[in-house]
This record gives sequence, structure tokens and C-alpha cells, in this order.
Amino acid sequence: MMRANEVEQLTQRLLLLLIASAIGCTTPGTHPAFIVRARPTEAFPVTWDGRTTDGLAGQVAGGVVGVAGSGLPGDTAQRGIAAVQATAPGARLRIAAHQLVAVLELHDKLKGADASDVDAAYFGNQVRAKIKLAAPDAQVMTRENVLVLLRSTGRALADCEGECEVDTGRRLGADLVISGELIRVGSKLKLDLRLHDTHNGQLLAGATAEGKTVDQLDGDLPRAVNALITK
Amino acid sequence: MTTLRSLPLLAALALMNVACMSTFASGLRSRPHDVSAFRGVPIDVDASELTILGDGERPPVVQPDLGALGNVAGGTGFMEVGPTRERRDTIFALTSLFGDAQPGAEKARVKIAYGFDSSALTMFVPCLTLLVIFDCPMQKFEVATDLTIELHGKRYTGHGTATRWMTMYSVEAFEPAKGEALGAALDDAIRRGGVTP
Repeated sequence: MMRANEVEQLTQRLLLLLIASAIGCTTPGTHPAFIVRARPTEAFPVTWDGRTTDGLAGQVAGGVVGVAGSGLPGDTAQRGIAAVQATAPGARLRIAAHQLVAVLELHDKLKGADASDVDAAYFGNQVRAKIKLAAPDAQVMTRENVLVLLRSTGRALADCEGECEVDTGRRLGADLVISGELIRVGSKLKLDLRLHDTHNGQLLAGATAEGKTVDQLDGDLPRAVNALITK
Repeated sequence: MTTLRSLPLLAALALMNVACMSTFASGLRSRPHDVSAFRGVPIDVDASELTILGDGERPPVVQPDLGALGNVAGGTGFMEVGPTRERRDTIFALTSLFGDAQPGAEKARVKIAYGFDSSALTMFVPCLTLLVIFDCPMQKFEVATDLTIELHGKRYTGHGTATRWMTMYSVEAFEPAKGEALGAALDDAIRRGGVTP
């Protein structure tokens, strides 16, 4: 038979276990992220993002991509929802459906405290995610795929400086390549992005996200990506 | 023996919280909404879109598997069924708010986007960690919702938020908070009125 103090000890341990598991279960950041996209229907033959039963209504072919901007201010944008709704009504994407897009590792030209505050890999992944959100039918290469493919060609991302983005994009088999640099100009942190067509080497667009703090830079990124991929 | 004596109290607290546990629909109906503009309007589920984004304070959950961002409507796998069901349930809750559909009524479609913001730091601020068993809050989180409703060629857009303190016995507070945020977004959309895109 267990004595009363043994039962109490056991109860206390069970309670602590319960507390620990409850804390573990409610750790923030566990919300699954997903998008359930609309399908063209009889009532709405063109979806929110401009798709029809016959394919895409727009994009490079010249139609209109009908993702509506909500026009909502402020805090939601800070949470990234703006990335989904950033494409203005009537805007046309530079990225055609099923084109392969490679986002190269961003060149981190920051020094000192800036360099430790800003994670270039994070911003690169943000650019990929926002492109995928704005142009869901495009194929965006993951960072891992880019690294693996580049290694197979005997090169590393660090080997590519400046003008060889297009060449790197071709090696990856991408149709479009996005490159960028993290720099400080005066009092502002800037992420300078460029979009190149790998088939003809043409610079299609450039856009810059900026902010006095890393948070502001992060918040301005959806706008810059949107400016980069729409015309 | 103190712990043993407190067990009935803890059990009563847990039961009380479970009994009070609310749902998405109850969160949506926690405030009255003037839905006269949408009375009896059915919503086209397939033409509607639902986006759930990860915690804004953390690296995006969608990374690095960008494939998970693709079109998940209509699939039958685990990853497809859950989100598709959530879209359906969300829209059913909205439709029930609008009332019974009129025969031949023109359909609306909706676009809903949720964002979440939670703070782990506040887990330790409201009370000592050990007191969470007495229903002290562990974590604060905020749900932000953007809603767009398209009806008769007009778009109604609104934004709403809801904040909750999460306790040990109310880990499901998340769903009613989503409902409340959607309700606030609906009110905002109705207040702003429809505009032609």
C-alpha cells in the first residue's frame, strides 16, 4: 500500500507533467499555414487570381490578373497578409504560368552590427514565398534545390558576383532569375532586387525594399517583390 | 496533503472550462452583426479562397516546402482534406449567419485570410508558471483577418482582429478567436460598403 506522502508526491509529479505538456502544446507558431485556392465555377468563371477553366486569364499572355488589393491599412500587412493581396487590380505579372524562377542567394554586403542583425537566407526565402503567393502557377525553386544544382555544376553561390546572375540562372535551367543585395545606404537598410530573363539576358525589372530598421525592411518586402514581378 | 485537497478544485476548474469551451461559430456569433446586405445570400464554396498564415513573429511556416502553397482544393490526401474542410466549415458558418438562402438568389464568393501573432514572453508575465494549473493565462495571441465578399459585382472588404489569453484549460481558444476576428472583419466590410472593382 502506498503511504499518503507517496501519493502526494506522485500527484505533484503528474501535475508538473501536465503543466509541461500543456505549455508544450500551446507553444506559439504552431499554426499550419496553407492556402485553399478557389476554382472557376459557373457563378464565378474567373477565380480571385485570374484563372479560368481554360487556364490562366492573364499573366504574360496579356490578360488581367484579378487579385484584388483589399486596400486595408496597417497591421495586417505587417503580418504578411499583404503579400497575398498585394497585386493591384489590373496589374500584370512578369512571370508566366509554369515558368521556372530561381531566386539566388542574396549578397549580404552589410557590415558590423547590421550584418549580425540581418539574415540574408531569411530574406531570400521571403522573396521566394511572396513570389509563390503572388504567382502560384509559377515554379519557384527552393533554396535547397538551387544549392544542390549549383554544386552539381561545380560552383557555389559565393562564386557568382554581379553580372553572372543570368549565367547562373541558365545553369540552373531557370527561365527567370532573381538576384539581390543587402546594403546600407545612409540611414537605411536596403534590399536591391533584380529580375533577369535568362533566355535573352535582359533585365526585366528592379525594385528596392528599404527601412531604417530590419523590421521596416521586412515590412516593405512585399511591396518591393510586387513591384518587381508586376508591370 | 495540500495538493490532494486541491484536486477537486482543479477538477472543477477543468470541467468548468471544458463546459465553457467555445467554437468557431460561437466566436463568429459572439456579437450581433447587421447582415441585411447579405440576407439569404448563398456562398459559392468552390469559388472562395481561404488563407492561413503562420505566426508573424517567426520564419514562415510555409518554408522551405513551397509546394505546400499550391492548389490544395479538390485533393484527397491528408494535407488537402484538412484545409479544404476548414474552408467549407468557415463558409458554412458565414452562410448560417446570412440566413436561409432564397431560391434562385445570386451567389456570393469570399476570400478570407488569417494571420496570427502570439507572444511567448507573456506566458511568464501574467502569473507564475506553476499557477497555470489554477487557470492563469499562459500566452496571449492575436488573430487578424482580412475578408473580401463579392456580390452583385461589388466587393466588400473588411479587417478584424481578436485577442485571447490562452489558459491551460482553454487551448482551443484559437477557434473562437478566429470566429470573432472574422465577425469583426464582416462588420467592417458592411460598414465600408461595396465598391465596384
